Amino acid sequence: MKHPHPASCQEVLWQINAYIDGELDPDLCSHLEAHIENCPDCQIVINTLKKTIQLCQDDRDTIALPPEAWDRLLVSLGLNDEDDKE
Amino acid sequence: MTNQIISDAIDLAALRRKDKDAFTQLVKADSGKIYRLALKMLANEQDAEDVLQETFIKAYKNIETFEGRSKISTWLYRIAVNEALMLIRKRKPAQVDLDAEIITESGEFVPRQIVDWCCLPEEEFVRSETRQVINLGIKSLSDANRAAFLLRDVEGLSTREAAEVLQISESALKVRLMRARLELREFLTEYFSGKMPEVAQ
Ligand SMILES: [Zn+2]
Repeated sequence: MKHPHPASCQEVLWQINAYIDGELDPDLCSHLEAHIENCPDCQIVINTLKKTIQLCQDDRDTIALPPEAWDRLLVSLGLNDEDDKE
Repeated sequence: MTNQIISDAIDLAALRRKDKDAFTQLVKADSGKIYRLALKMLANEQDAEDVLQETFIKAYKNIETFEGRSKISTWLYRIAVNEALMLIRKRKPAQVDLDAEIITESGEFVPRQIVDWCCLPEEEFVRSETRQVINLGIKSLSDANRAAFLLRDVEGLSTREAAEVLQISESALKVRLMRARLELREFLTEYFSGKMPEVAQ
């Protein structure tokens, strides 16, 4: 056994980013999961953290450059006459 | 503008010659994401547009300094983040860093609020008030942590790429990302706690 002691909340919290990003090595991951399974607090922190990130990503694809800003960008770069080539 | 051109597929030699067609392709490919990053960094449309223009003006002027070792979008992000930070510094005095709140001096990480708000009905998460709160949360992060969070979690860069954009080590990037994510979790927990049905607690 690589991990003779059960993981603590603090250990889980220190690895929380790597854990939710799936970047932990399998051995450490299962060591932490053994704790998480029995710890409602860690479960809540993990779930709300995942949800937080997801909520921040949600409007990603709805943010677009306004058409007028696009026109101004091309003018500022001197590329405006190239615009209708396509 | 949301077309399928991938900036790395654009002929770099043509860009270096300052070929207008190649450069137009680059603008088409990457202006959307540069604008989005600038908007989330600055929370102001006019400022975001200024940063967008400055980024591509500088890119055009300095394209020969791009060595092609990283993605061209990574290089553009770097210019954009620097422009955004310069604008922020111009606008306000040096900000007080509140990071210490979440990671204590002994190095222990302490979540302040443990409330399971994931179970709230989906409508709660898509309301415009909620979107405003989320953007406010992002805005409340320190500039350094916000940039790390936006590049990694919103723009989807790898740890290595995001570190490269910010010109910091990968471990420094990870620390900033951790602080940003945890701060945001606290911020949203504060808000969503008020939406939880009282009896369920
Ligand atoms: Zn725990």
